[in-house]
This record gives sequence, C-alpha cells and structure tokens, in this order.
Amino acid sequence: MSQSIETRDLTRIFKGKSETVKALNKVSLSIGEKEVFGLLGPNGAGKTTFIKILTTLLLPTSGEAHVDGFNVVKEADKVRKIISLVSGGETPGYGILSVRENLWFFSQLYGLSSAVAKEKIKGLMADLDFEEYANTRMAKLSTGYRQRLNLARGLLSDPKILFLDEPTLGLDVLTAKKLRSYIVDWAKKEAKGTVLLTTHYMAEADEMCDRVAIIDQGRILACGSPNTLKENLKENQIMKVETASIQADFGFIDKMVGVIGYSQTRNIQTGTTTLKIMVSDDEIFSKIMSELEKAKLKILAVNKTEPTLEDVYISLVGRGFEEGEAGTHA
Amino acid sequence: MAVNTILRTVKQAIWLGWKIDTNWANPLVFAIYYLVRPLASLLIVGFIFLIGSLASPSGVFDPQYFAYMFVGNCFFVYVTHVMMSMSILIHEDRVHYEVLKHIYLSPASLKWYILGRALNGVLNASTSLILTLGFGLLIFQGLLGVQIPINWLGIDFPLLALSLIIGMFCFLALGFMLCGINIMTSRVQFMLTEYVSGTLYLFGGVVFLPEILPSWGQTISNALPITYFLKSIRFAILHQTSFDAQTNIAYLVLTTVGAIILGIGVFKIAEYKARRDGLIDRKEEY
Repeated sequence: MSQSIETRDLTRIFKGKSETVKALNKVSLSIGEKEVFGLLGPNGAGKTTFIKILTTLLLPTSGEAHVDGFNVVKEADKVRKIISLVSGGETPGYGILSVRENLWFFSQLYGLSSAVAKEKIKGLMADLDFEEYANTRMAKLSTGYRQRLNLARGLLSDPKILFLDEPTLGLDVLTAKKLRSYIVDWAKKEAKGTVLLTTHYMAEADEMCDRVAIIDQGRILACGSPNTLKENLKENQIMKVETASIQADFGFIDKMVGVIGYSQTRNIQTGTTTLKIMVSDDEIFSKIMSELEKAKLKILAVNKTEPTLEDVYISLVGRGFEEGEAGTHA
Repeated sequence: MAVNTILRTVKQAIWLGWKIDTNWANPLVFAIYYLVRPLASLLIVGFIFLIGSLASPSGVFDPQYFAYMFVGNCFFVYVTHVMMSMSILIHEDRVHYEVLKHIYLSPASLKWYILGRALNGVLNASTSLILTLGFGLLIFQGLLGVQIPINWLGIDFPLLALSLIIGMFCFLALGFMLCGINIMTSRVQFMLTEYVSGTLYLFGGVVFLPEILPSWGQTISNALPITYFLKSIRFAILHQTSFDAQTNIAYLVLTTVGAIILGIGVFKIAEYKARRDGLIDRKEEY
C-alpha cells in the first residue's frame, strides 16, 4: 500500500516569552491510502499541532512531512489541492450567509464548476440530513447542524485526504454517531479516501479507525490497530471500582507494587468516583480493596473489564486522559 | 493554478463583500448610508471653507480652491473604502467569522480572495463617489449658488481613466500591505487604518496644497502616490494649475510601483510568519 501521509522526526517547538513548549517531539508516522487513522491523546498532547503542520497551516521546527508525496513545507500549494480540514467546535462559515450560500461560496473557492457544485451541495445536504436548513442562515443553526455543514464543506472538493480535528467535539450522541458512520462510509467509498482523525474520545477512535497512534506530550507512544493494541494488554488485569466519594485521595494506588496505572472519573451529580485500575496480577486487587476499606470508602460496584484504548493509554502513561484525574506510574 | 478557479474566487469574494456590507440593512437604507457618510465629510469641509472665506478679512471666496478641495475630498473615498475594507477583512474572517484558515487552505489562495474583497471596495467607492459628486454639486452649486468650475464636456476622460486605473493598483497594493500587517498583529486593524488614511489625508494634498506644508511634510507628500493621483484627477476634471501631465503620470507610476513592491513584500513576509507562528487561525480573546 502506498503512503498518503509520511512524517519523519517531525518536531515543533513553540517559544513563548516565559516558556518553551515542545508540542511535537520527533514524530515519525506512515499512513496508507484508504486508511482511517486515529491520533489519540489528551488535550495538549500535540494532535492539533500535527494536523496543522500536515495541512500547511504551520511550519515544523525540524523533521519532514509529506502528504500524498508532496513536501508540506516546499509544496504547500500542491498539498492544499488534495486535502480538506474539518475541525470540531468551530464556526463552519459566514453567519450572515445561508447554509446553501456558504457551501456555494466554498465550492467556488475549491474550483468546482457551477453544475458540479450544485449537484455536490444537493447531495451532501441530503446525505447529512440538513436539506431543510438549506436556506437558513448559518448563525441560526444548532451546534450539531453547524458541524454537518462543516463536514459537508470539507467533502465538497472530494479531497484525497481528509483531516478531522476532534470532529465530534461538543456534539450530542446521535449526531456524533451519524457523522462518524458517514465519515467511515466516505473513506470506504472514495478511491483514495484517507482520513486522519484526532480525538480524545477513545470509543470514537475504536469505532472508526483501522489504526491508531497514541500521543502524549508530543511523542508517539504506540501505534497499531485498536485490537492489536488491546491484545497487548491481555496479560494485565483491569478492574472498575465505583466508590461513593468524590473527594477521597486515591494517590496511594499508584504507590502499590504491581499497579501499572489507574484513572479516576468523578461524577459530581451522583457523588461517585469510578476508578479504573490496571494491575499485572489479580492478587494486587485484594490489597487495593482492603486499602479502600481501611480508608472507610463505600464501594458501590466492582467489575472486571475488557481492555479498551483508554487502558492502552493508562498502561503507557500510568494515568487517564482527563486533566486532574492523574495517577502516576507505579 | 486554473484561471477559472481564480476568477470564481474573485467573483465570490466580491459577492461576499457585498453581502457582508449590506446584510445589516435594506437596500434603501444602505444606499442612504453610502451617500450620507462621504457627503457629510464633504459638507463639513465645504462649509468650513465657505464660512472661513467669508469670515476672513478679505472676505473673498476662491472658487478654484473650493473646486480643488471638492474634487480631492470626493476621490479620497477610494482610500477609505478600498484600503479600509482590505484592512479589516483579515480580522473579520479570522476572529469574527473564523473562516480565514479554510480560505487560506483553498486551492485559490488567500491573495485572490483578498483581491475580490478589495474589488468590492472599489465598486462601493465608485458608487459612493458618483453619489457624492452629484449630491455635492446639487447642494453647493444648485442650492447655495457656489460656482464650482467643472466643465463636464471638457473633462479629459483618457487622463481620468488612466489615473484611476493606476491609482487603483496603488490602493490595492497599500491594502495588501495593511492585510499583511493585520495578519501579523492583532487588535490594530481599526487604529492602523485610521493612521494610514489620516496620513494620506494630511500629506496627500486632499484638501490643501502640499506646497503649504513644511519642507519635511512636502518630502513625505512627494513620496506618496496619492499626491500624484489627485493631481492627475484634478487636472483631468478641472484643468487647474500649470501641469505637466506626463511627468505627473510618471511619478504616479513610479510611486505606485514602489507601493506594489512594498505591498507584495509585506504580504509575503506576513504569509511566511503566519505559517511559522500559526497566525492564520489565531484566536483573540477580547
């Protein structure tokens, strides 16, 4: 399979007045044609910086990147002809224009002839179920329909490579599901439809991607198909523990021998904290449970779970995705 | 790049500029606004001149000088419309509409889109100019009886057209320079436009002869293409002053070429810095 996207030692450093941040640290990746590839990582991991460099919005500090064989620094014009970028949570067009006018405007910028543009706009609005809003001003659309418009704009030019930066950010479950399945179908249908998706939703990456790379602090920690990455965890044990507390300090868990990592999710509404603990041996669990009991924490539920991509991340970093919920590597 | 794509982009940008300019009002209100704004400026300057002349010790009104001021003020509309529209569009598209990155990433490229938006400014300015000239003459000449020595049959239309064409290149180039500065900076779009148009108004011989400026002011005036632009326009319409049209056009071309080099240079630097520093989709929190 020939490569749609290839990076070698891609590095990007942001120099601020008070600090220097290495957003990407020698990232080397190869993404094949027709592949739906996911870049999975927490906020600030370097996902958007990676996409910005590949879409020619940003220059790398060092390293190389090629999109469909074109160098993103030296051949930016050629790259722009074959790509499209759709980001989540952004304004998809001019609020003063209607949905149809916005799509028409961008179709002309993409060089589509009038007949083709009309046909494409009609088809995309029908496929993404927002024909009824064709004459509605973009400013009056809900978040979900704005994102449908955004995706339609991104697909107008029949890009060879579609970059999706957190495309379902802030969307309701149904809209997110619809957009996800549409994107996967599009990639299958298109002759050379490659998709690079960044997300911090594990289930999204799991559901959509042929392969995923896990990125943290600008470094690629692992890369492979979701199943392969999860298979690697088969030797470990993963337990989900729900406790009736949102204030308890669970820091002792990562100090225990045999704990690979853990994450905690606090639910303020129910007053509970869900711990996901990964250990190398079953016996460690009983020790953890007795420590929880010693701390007089009410245990609401204990379940053994199958590995997910989040567990892959926990096993690599020692903590979960969400900020403020970190445990550390044991 | 396909010529068709460029033409489509320019056409759509003109249309978009028109939609953005007019979306807040119905056509009649919009037309009134486009007339009132430059006309008000002309009336203010005109009445100051009239009252100043009558209140002076000699009490003599100079119709030649009034015409000089009248024409200069009317044609200055190109500076305000073209350059201002170009200056603020980067801020509008990047911060307000958040679409600049998609335009930047389109095959047609940002510069053709900006050119289209600027041409919308040229069309608006031309409409505004015709309305202001017409209503200005109606008010001053028709209602107040002020003699403005414009001989419509004697207008040198080839010189007028040539001056306007070269002048448009100059204003577009300076507009690209402002776009470039606005790509690299934030929050200065309105201030910057005011400073630039204010400088051109002061030193460009819009309402008074550059010769009355101090020597350093005259040096600045001699370096500005608008000075030669307005001289040519005035000669074409009013046939004022001893005038060497060819030399003036040569200076206009020379300073316009300088403006084009400056405009393209600043814009290229801005495009590079935008990619280096990630400025195309920068968010501004204010």
